[in-house]
Amino acid sequence: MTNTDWHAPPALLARFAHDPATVDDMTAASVEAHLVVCADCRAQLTAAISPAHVTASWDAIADRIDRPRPALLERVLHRIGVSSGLGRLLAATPALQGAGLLAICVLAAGAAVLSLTADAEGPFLVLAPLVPLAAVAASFTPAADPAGEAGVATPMHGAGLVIRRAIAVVGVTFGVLAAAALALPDVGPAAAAWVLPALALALGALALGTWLRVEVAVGVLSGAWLLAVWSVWLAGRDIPLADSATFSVNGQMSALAVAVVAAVVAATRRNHFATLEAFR
Amino acid sequence: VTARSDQDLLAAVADGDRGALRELHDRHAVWVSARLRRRCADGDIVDEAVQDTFVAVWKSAGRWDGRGEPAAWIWGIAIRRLIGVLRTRGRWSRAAAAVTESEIMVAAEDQVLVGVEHGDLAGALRDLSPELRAVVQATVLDGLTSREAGHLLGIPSGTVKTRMMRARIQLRGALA
Repeated sequence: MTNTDWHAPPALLARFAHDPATVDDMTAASVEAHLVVCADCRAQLTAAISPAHVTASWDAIADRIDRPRPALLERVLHRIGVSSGLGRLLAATPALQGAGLLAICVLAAGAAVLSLTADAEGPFLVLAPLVPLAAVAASFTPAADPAGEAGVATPMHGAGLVIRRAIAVVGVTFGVLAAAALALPDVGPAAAAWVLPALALALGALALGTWLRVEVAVGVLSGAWLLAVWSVWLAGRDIPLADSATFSVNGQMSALAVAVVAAVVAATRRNHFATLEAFR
Repeated sequence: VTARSDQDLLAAVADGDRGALRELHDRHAVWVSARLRRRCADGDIVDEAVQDTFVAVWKSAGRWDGRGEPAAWIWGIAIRRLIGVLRTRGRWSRAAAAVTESEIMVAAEDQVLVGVEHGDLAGALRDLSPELRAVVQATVLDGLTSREAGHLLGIPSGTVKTRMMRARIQLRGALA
């Protein structure tokens, strides 16, 4: 099939190497078809380009094949279109690394098991909102952050990083909790009553975190949540926990209101995140 | 020392020989890059696609079946990596513009030319509209599927098929 006697003129190969767009269509097509089968002409074409270009190209490739394989989460993030830098920052979020993720799963499963043994949604609805809160606390405690010191020097350090990580942590936690909620005795709208309180608490932690260290803010909010649920339940007398006012329409509306207020506060005070002050 | 053949190099790459990959790169990167630049005017995108290509060769050399021309196998990866990079960067329009002005093929053994033995092939191809030529080039010379060609040209794969059909009819008419 190949006519080995014929070779492309060296001048044409040089032009094809340097400025392929200037070669007319018919000639280019013929050269391309020939290059696939002719090592001599490929070598001739390569010789027309400065070896420095070839070396630079190889260096970039060598850099990539020598690079350690990114973590699974980082590859997933990259696949769904998150830029590689942001992907690495998010993947370095303590709560999203192996041990943290395991802890989230164990907490969510624990809450679901408690509900199953009690044969009521109550325990899950009370405990589930605390899981994202714990994850947020774990993520923003400076001592727990493997990229903490290095993070101070990055251009994205500050509010942008805190908010992006919070979204990632809360998103992952909600996914795990939603999966755990499927194990509840009665899967229905009532089984989703943890969502708005959890959102309110997580956003509340961010908002309070602009005044207090985030661990303190999380502690305060956890206590306040348990106290609120308990007192509302006592006031309601003799009904299952899941039916108390906290998880009724009014309770859900209150949680939504708290979430909105907290989001506004966190957004307007985003330059005051106390967790960052530790580094300054 | 006699130079190793491309086939030997690919087998060595499959065994994790980094030096063999470098040698393959030094032999093939320049012509692959030049050929990609005829399909995409953006040098950064082409550089990225060339890098992706050799990283892919490094990872999947074991999947080469040992037959055929390694250069053709590498080109098959390269044109698909170019499509991949264009897709992630979302710059369809640019690639489409570059390809519309682009070339066509004179290679044999393709479905367009089945049954055609005589005639002025180059002239017939030149008479195709740029849109039809771009489709003939992507599917015949680059060996892409209708879907891949659609991604490269930024048009639906159904449009690729209808344009290919029109090109085939026009070429048959011109060469009959």
